[in-house]
Amino acid sequence: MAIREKGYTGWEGELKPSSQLWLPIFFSGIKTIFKKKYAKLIFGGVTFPFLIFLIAVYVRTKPELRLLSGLVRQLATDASLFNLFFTNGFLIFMLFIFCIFAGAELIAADLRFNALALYFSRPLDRLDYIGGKFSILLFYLLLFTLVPGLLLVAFKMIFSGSLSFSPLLLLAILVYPFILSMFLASFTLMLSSLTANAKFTRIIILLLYIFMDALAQMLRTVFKSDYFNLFSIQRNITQVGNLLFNKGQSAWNFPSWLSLLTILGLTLVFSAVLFLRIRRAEG
Amino acid sequence: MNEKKTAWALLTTFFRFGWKNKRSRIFLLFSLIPVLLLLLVKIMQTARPASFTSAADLFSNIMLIFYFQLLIPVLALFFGSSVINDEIDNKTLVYLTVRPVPRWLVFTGKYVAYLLVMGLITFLGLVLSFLIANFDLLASAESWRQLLTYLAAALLAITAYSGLFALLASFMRKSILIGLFFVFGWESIVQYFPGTTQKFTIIHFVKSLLPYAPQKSGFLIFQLEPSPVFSSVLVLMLFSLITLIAAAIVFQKKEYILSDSN
Amino acid sequence: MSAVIQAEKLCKWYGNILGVSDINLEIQPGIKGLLGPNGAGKSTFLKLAAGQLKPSIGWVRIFGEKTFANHRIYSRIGFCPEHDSFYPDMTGWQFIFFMARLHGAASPRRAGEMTEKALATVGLTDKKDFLIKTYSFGMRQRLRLSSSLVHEPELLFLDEPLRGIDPLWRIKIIRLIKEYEKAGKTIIVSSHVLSEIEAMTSDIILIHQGRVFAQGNIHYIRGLIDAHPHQISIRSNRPRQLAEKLVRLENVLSVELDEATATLIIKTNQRDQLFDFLTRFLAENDIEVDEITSPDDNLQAVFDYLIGR
Repeated sequence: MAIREKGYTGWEGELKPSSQLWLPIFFSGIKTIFKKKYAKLIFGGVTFPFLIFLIAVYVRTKPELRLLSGLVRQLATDASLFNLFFTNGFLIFMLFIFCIFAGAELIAADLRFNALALYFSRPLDRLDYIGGKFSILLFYLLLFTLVPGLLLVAFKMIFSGSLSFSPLLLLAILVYPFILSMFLASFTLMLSSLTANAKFTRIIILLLYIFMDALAQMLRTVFKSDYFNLFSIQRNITQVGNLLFNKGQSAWNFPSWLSLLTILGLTLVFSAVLFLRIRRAEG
Repeated sequence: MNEKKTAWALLTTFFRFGWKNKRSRIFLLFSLIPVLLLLLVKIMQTARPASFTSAADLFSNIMLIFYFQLLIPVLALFFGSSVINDEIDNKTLVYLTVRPVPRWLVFTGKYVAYLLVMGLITFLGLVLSFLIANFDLLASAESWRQLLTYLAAALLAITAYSGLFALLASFMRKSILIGLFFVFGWESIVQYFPGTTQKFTIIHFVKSLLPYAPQKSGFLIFQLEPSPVFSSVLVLMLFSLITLIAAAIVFQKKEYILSDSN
Repeated sequence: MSAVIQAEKLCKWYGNILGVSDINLEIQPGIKGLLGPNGAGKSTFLKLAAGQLKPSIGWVRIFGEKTFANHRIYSRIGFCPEHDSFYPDMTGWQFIFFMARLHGAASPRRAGEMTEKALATVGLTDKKDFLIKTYSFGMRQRLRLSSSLVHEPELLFLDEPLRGIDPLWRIKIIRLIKEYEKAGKTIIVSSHVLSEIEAMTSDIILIHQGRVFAQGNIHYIRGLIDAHPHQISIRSNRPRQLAEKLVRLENVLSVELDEATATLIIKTNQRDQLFDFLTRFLAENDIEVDEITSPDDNLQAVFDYLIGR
């Protein structure tokens, strides 16, 4: 049972249970990450694909400009535009870099400095703590995915002079960033909760990202089956994009809904492991 | 004071605890996954020879992708930067620098200990992979020559990468991010550029030592224009030596403040 | 007798933050208490002296030699740091054994002997095979102390050595430090707990805001502070009569009577003359005195006065 009474013996107010105890963790985490030394550099890097696609969206309406022709040719439809934006390798890589930079030490640092005892001597339980940490990563990940996606929609409408937009596509633009952000946040926080050494967590995040991709390639080459792409984090993310934006069409010969199941399943598993880890620390 | 004895004490102690460490076990696990993959392929190949790529053919790809492009740089980044950063982060540096041991010897002793750990982790996976993949070719001297080539290239790669990351760590705290950008950013991108730009990477010289078939030229096709073997070995050895000496000098002269902030 | 530690114009900045400023010291053999509040610069001074930090300005020497990165001198120095940090995967024995080997023990057997002795000194023999991460705070503190003693150095720097130690072991460690001094060694002990320093030595250096405020024998320092009135406490059977007489004296600044305890607290700026007067007056008037003390002839009073509380 969470400890709720300590530290309030001299307080004269009314002890009311609150459902928003994660908010102080959230606000504090947002500010801390923003103030970090290379934060703006990383933010710039993650925002870079958005700038390129913004230019491409503009050039799409002005073919005489002949800029980024190779990219613009691939953006024939709105669906392909958003599919390519959300699943491009550079954006995914930079999101992982952000998770390494900001997320790796979110829980590892608390373990290192025995801060969990401080948290749980307040009227906080696991959900509040995990919710607070999750919300920090979700905030930034959505800032780098959902917000640019919606901005691209807005600018596309402005540049094309037309407000028409597919509602299903809009729904996909809203849903995909959430799926991706929940996956990345759960993955990062789970690894962060496994060790007090944030440096090791950083390396493992990237190692797993690249290793699983290499493993998938190897298995695919050996067994000559595209189903082994399910081992690759990046390819699963790409397939989820294909499912939501491209009606499941893809270069690989395996159903994209399997990737969605894999991503959602892994998110649940990572979250469960995280929950259990914090329980051990709290208990 | 007998510096050989203290060097031996540093080496044996840090090797023992570096090898027993949980993180080393995790890296060892990563190192053995390709071994399992090759074992699986070998078994399946035995059952249905025509249906699968041979393990021997897969071996060189696995060496390149798993060991030389992934595991070795990551091991070198983690252990190379840990030589100094761990002592600062854990505030244990004072126990080493208040002993009658020259600081450069503290650095060198600990570095060599970690080099042995990295070598053991890599060589174990490498040798087991070789034995499984080339099981039918073990009687051939050429196979063993190939193994020695891979082992030598691995050792040079480990020392070059770890020397670089140890040097970065000797004067900056956030060397991990820079190291990650170097390996997975710079070295990954530069591989696609033809010409001398490739020579500004470690991986170029490492790959020049490996048995590798040149690719056709084209945009976004990985391009290797290998350097001669002798000059690659020389460059890697010199690079390792220079970075390690520089790191030892920095460690000898620099003041490290063990603050409470991380 | 030549100074063990010498410092001249010693200053240290951490960026814009001042660690220590313009310290000029010569420390002779014996036990020296380094006293000051948190953040005064005690640890900074110890680290400068022990060669862990480089001076920004000035210099510090031990046995006539500069200390930073001068590894030869470290066979004569022991340093017990303030940080609670260890190699967590080592046992207590492994850690001290490692330290002994770094001091160039002639053989593993000799290193083992040194280790056993060092651990026995701090009472960790029965815990030697346990991992350090399982030790309590007090045990880790004792292990830290042990690491600084393993090679029996001539000069010991102890940065808050009694922090977290239980009362029984505090007494033992204080006794150990005094035995070290009797063996001719020099010990510099830093603390912000006055009673700890008082129990070990009367020879102190007062540091505050990076500067040395005073140094020397505590009683001598107190005597120098003439501007600060001395307090004398007298418990007697006729406090009112005594008070009536004392209040007329010119060198008595104030008299405070506590009827409940029959105690007078007298403030004077001429303590010696007052004692002369008291001796005669008490004898002539047959007043019984149970107790005479100087409540502020101690470190606390000096400390409070000097740092302006």
